[in-house]
Amino acid sequence: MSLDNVLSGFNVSGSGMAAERARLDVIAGNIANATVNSDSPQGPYRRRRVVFQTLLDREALGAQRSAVDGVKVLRIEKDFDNPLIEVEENGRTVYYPNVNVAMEMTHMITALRTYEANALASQTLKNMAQRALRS
Amino acid sequence: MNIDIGKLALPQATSSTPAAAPLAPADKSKRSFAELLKDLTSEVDAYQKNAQDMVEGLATGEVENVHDVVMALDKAELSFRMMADVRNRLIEAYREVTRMGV
Repeated sequence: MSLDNVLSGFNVSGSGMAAERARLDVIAGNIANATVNSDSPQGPYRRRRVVFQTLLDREALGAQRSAVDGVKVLRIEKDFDNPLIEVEENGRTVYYPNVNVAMEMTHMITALRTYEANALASQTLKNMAQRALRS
Repeated sequence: MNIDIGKLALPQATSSTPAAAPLAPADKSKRSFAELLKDLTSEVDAYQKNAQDMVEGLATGEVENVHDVVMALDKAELSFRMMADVRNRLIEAYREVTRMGV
């Protein structure tokens, strides 16, 4: 449809907001499971992280108009880079998740601000179009 | 007056492939303005219906992202305003003609 081209910017902002929402879900999961401990190294919860990928608008590239790229969640992976926390309790080793709650809070702020920025971008697009109509 | 929107928006793209830009408008110019307006109206209607579906989806729990609903509403509003603006200017032009002294 012809109006789709005019309104395609909304899809980009929408994909960004969806991505940040997915990121917040993962962060929430990490915080919820931050104290799931175990006796064995395989037992405790491992921190999840979300991997994003740029979503290319192939159709737009072919049509030579400004190709707008959205973002999509490529995968949600387990974090094996950060080691589990080992704690000695009553002479035996207990493993705690590699979740740093302070770090998750920081990521949460990032997710919120990025979501806000995406919302602002779509709002601005709407304002711009309305300003053009008023002229 | 013929303004090529493609050239204004994308100077670097049109300079590399000058033949690509004028092709698309030339094909569409064969259709009458009434047809175009009709198409635009049905398109706007589709956006309105989509927004309606999204609001219903939100109420029934089918939609998981709130911003998708807001986006659909924004699109519906914006497309309707565009259509209304085209209509208003058309009517204005018609009135201008009827007021014209002979």
